[in-house]
Amino acid sequence: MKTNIFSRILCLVTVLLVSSVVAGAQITVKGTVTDKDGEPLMGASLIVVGDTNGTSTDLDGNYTLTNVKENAIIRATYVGYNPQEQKAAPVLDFVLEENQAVLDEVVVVGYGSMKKSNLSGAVATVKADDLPTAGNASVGEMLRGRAAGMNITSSNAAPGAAMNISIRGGLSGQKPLVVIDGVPQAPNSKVSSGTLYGGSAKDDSGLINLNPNDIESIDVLKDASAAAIYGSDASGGVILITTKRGKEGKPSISYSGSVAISRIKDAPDFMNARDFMTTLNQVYDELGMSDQHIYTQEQIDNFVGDGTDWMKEVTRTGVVNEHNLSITAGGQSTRTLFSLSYYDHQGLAKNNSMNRITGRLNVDQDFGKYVKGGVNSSFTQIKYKDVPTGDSRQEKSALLYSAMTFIPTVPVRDEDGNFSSNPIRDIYPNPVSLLDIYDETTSRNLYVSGFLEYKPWSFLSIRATGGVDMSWIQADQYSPTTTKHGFSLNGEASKQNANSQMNLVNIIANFNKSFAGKHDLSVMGGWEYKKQSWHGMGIVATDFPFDNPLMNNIGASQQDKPAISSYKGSSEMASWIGRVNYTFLDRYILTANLRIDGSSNFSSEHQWGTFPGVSAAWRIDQEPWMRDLTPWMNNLKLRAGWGQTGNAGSLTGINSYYSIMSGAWAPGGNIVNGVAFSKIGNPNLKWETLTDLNIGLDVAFLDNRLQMNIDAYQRERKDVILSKSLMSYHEVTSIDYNSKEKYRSRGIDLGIHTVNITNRNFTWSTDLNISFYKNSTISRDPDFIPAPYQPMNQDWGDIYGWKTGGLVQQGESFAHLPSSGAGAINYLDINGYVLDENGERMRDSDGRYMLSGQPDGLLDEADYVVLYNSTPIPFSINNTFTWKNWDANIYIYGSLRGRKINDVKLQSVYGIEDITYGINVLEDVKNRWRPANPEGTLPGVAEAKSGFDPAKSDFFYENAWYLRIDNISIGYTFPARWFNNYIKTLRLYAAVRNIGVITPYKGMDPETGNGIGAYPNNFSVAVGLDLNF
Amino acid sequence: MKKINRFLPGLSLVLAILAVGCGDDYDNVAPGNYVSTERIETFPGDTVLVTGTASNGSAITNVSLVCEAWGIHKVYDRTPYDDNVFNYEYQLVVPDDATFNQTLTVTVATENGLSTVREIPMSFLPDTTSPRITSTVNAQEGIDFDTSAGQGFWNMSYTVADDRELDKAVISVPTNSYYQEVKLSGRQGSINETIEFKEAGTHPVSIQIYDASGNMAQYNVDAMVMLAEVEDPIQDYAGMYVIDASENPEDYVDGYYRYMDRMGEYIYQGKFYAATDNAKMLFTPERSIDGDLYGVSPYVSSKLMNKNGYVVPVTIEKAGYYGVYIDLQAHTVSTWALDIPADACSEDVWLSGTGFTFGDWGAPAEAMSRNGYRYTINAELVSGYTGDYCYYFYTSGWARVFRGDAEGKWWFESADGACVTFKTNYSGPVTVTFDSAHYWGTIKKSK
Repeated sequence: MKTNIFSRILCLVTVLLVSSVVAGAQITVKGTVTDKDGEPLMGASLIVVGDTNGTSTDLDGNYTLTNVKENAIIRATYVGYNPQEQKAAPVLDFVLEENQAVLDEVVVVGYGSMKKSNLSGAVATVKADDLPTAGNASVGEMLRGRAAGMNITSSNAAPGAAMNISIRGGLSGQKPLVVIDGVPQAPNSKVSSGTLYGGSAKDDSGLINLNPNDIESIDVLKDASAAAIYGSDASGGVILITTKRGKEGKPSISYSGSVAISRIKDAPDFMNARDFMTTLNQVYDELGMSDQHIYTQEQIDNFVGDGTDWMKEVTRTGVVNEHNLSITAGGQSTRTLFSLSYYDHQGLAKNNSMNRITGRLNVDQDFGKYVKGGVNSSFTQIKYKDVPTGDSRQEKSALLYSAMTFIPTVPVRDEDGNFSSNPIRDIYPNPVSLLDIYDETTSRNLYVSGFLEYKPWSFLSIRATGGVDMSWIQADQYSPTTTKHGFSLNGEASKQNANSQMNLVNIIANFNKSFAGKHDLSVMGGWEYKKQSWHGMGIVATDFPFDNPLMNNIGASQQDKPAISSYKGSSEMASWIGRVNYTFLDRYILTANLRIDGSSNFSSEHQWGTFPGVSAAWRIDQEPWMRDLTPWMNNLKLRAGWGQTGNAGSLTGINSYYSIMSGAWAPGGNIVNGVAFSKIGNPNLKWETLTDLNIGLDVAFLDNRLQMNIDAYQRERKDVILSKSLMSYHEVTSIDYNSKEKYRSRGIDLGIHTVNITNRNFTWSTDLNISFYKNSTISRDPDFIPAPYQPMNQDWGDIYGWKTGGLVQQGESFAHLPSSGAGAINYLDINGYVLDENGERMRDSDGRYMLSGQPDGLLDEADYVVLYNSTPIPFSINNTFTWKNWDANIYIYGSLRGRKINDVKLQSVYGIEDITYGINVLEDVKNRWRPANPEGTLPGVAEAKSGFDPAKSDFFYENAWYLRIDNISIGYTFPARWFNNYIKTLRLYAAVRNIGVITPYKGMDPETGNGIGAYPNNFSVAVGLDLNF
Repeated sequence: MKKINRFLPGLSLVLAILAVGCGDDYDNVAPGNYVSTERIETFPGDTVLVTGTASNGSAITNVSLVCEAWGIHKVYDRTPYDDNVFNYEYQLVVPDDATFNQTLTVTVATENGLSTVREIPMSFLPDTTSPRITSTVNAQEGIDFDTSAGQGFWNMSYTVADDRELDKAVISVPTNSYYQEVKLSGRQGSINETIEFKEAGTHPVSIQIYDASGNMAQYNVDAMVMLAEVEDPIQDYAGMYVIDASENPEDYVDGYYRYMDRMGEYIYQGKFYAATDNAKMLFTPERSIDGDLYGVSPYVSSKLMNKNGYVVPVTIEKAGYYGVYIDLQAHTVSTWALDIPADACSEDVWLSGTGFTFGDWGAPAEAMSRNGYRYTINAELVSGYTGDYCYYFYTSGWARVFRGDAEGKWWFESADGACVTFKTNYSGPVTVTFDSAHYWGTIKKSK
């Protein structure tokens, strides 16, 4: 077969040669290709423009081109250098100049890199220079909206809070794999306080450990044809991060620093003291309990001021301080980068902060002509000081929720100097008392990787890499007796630690060679072994003689049996890796990836998973006929790819095993810990598989002033690992199995880059990214019985619930709402069940209860309909301006679609009755329905007695598309000559972050504001400087 | 554009405010001074709770309550707290030699230099309140009559109180020709008398308590003097069971006997669900009603004793959940209503187990009905089943699993662990109940 192909190519070449001879006089061209220092460039390509004739240089940079037309134009190209064209001559030398712009077009693709022009998969690249300059803790936060198809959201605005990163809809349910300098990162260990109180979820992606200033570039492998090279780790996509490295030349010192001040943005309005007292009495009247008024009219009339502003008592102006120092130096054989960074974010909530110190040392060393090595290392320490967060105000009280809802008619401290309590119902803790909870989590991460590369020839390199990623987390907490919870337990202390380590070693061989100036072949093959291990322990104890030692003298606990826990585990994976990239005439590109992973999570029969990827691209603009037709076109590339990645779910082991269960047995009456069956292994379990199809088009016009990338994709997930309930009374009630369910994601990613204006003094460029996708379930398990309203194929974004028709008015009554009085929500009865002659519900062929299509006087699941679709349409617009030495940036991102419950408003339903417990409520509650206000649009006291959950209806859903003006910055770079060139660059800048959100959503925040007690979003102003010596 | 932060205009406004100096809406507003009472009526030696609220947008610096004639000069210094509201509760003690028609002056001062004064007149309050017995007074008191000595004794012991000054107690038993006055003084006192009865029967006893102002309270108690009741020997059992006396144990396959934990020597505590008003309960040390059986005396409804065939069940007037505490030596039984726990399950609950006709799976949801936290499931025990029967309950997706220990003494919530195991010769339809408020399961024959 191979012979056959070569013979055909030979025939084709022969025909072309013959054709050219026939066409006119021809010469032989010889010469050399060197760089500007005279060093020969081996493997440089030389082609006759508009022809298929071409060759490449030998070890000494020499070449020979035969059968060249006399007036032909010859182009010399070499990766990282400007191409050069000259008219053909018998002796023709090329001196190529290095081109930084072209170098930037080298894209990291996993276990290697390639020219962007040779890419055939869906890969997005983000340059560090494009990221915002100040105020971000995490690279994840900075990446929001920067690449089409990568949707990054945060449900929380607390310092260092977790980011939800999903690539192309997140169909796999897995987080993207983060690979730093070629070494995949282990997710940070999580640790829970083990007590009632927990801070906000923290970013555990590994990105939080990175100093953003250390980053050179970020590449995102979006489709499986590219990501398959990471096999089973890549089902959530891959984020490849390349850090900066030392450069040859004089030492260079860079400093950047900024200070940002932030304030609360869009906190909900709760009632002041007078309104609270008046409304409380009104609600008692509406409940028919007028005799239980808490406040007299005289008391209300004598109240002056707004009472205690609890939000003000527990919040403050946030401050972010950031300082980065970087030193690079290098000789001919050794190049070093050393950096230090300090980031401190004092959050909007008092006692809430994040403090990070990072250090990095990257060293590259040449050992002679053929061998080089290097070390990448970083150390990170992050200290979080947390406050209780969440949506609870009773035992698990959260600071902000408590502050919003605590009674405004009492001071912070009572006449004895103790924290005041709620005089109506003394079960809610004073919000300020919650600030006494000591809650500190310290995370330390050490990452070291080293490589040794042997390059006997320019076209072959063999690289061995070893890396270790270790993290240690220590979480300390103490709830003192000044808090209600701490008082009930006489102090509660918790110390928890979680440690993890990932060891990795791989050996990768790369072969890159051009043949005859037309065939570029790149072959990569290798082997990798990875082991992850984790262990930790914790103790929670109560009953302390006094608070002062906090959790630091836990032996002082007088509790009989403090809760002690410990654990340990590990998993291993070995992989074979391979990739072939072939480019013909710089136009036709074919890439094939293969990874074979073996995991200890599966039985030996199903241990190995094979994950292939194939992609092809056609650079249409390079076709001679196209060049003639569209000289204004700089790039037109059509790409197509197919690939598979795997997923082992959240498995931690295949074997049945026993473990200690707390409270599992009651011998002799006392419930005790015992050994119980913990897990049943399933030897038939195998890898989940995700299969991607991708078609893309890259276009550039008008000297690259208009560039566009568009990708359409489909991803299918099958053999989904789910947990099934066991058909028995076993101690273990579930088992993992490969489901017949199939999930599918389809979408389009679009990225546009335009240079709108460019002249000597002024440039304005715009980047637009937008993504559309739809996730759906397309196949079910055979025993799946859909709910009455549920289709077998279901769009994940669909929201089901009851339709509503306003509020029940006085005099109205509905059979399906037997407990709903005037002011309750009017849920609509629109459907019913089909009943047989015995009055039993009938099922259809899917097992689903059949619906009659007629109201039946009952409100139940039969009345559910699709209310909305909430799948987001993420987008971003980035505008960059430069005018002489000034630069400016405006960055906007958001989602063109969203539906979300207005939690703050929903709370008003319960708030109406809760006010009788002394719980403060929203100002909105004034607009509730009541006999004196029948025009009120919010439900009245009757709703709480209706017996229906308003969250299962459309009543509180709001349109939640949004457009966030995330960053506006302006900077000025001082000319180096002002400093006699002692300072290379000095740039001062100012930025305002999160200036505003355009949205119809009336809740806290369409992106981060989940729940009434959500950490408030903040608006910040930053100033900073960048300095290079 | 509602949420667009008007940064530049806002910044300008801030600068403008800074330029003209900081202003405050409450610079010229006097504080609110609310006192919960407009007038105080009291008497010498009395303690009066004076409550009030000080409020202002400007921080409160101090609140004072002053009556020079009574030596009252209470000042709350709130300067360190920077509060906008302050609630106080002042215990005003009226001097023993107080003269009346005085004024309590309440002053609230705030940081803006303004203050508000309230004057509360204080006058004498005549004593019209009767004294009272503060310990428990039972309507009946059981007294053993010793036939050999021809007498019975009641060791009466009560504590009494008055808000000002006690005077005396008068105890009379007309049927026994008994009359006794007991001198009392101060605000609290006690009555400790021994009354001798010469005849068995019911003797009405009158107890009158007088205070120094002549206010009187009367209590009536029936002294039930009866022949001594002899109970069967009692033991310090390892545990006890509480049973519903209105039910037949033969009707139950499991769960009829509800275990009570031993809390100390002869002391046991458990839970009981009264399905109806006037529910009846008895206590047994074994899962049998043929041996020792504890109930109350047919003559004294509060006296717990062990005498099978003699005792009557304890009656619980209102249906509901009750805690039960018995002391075999002290012959007491006490019950108290239990609240529904906040985490009580009210979702759909399934039954699973072995020996049922539904096989190795759960009973279908349609078979389950719920009344409050009481779940009822109709099922059937397999005929000819020779293994151990067992059962447990769970919610959808095993989100919550309710189990009992193998002996069926304790029910608890746990994802893993034991199940109640039992043996029975019965096969056929059963009604299985589960109580999710205070976990307990039963299986009752239903054919």
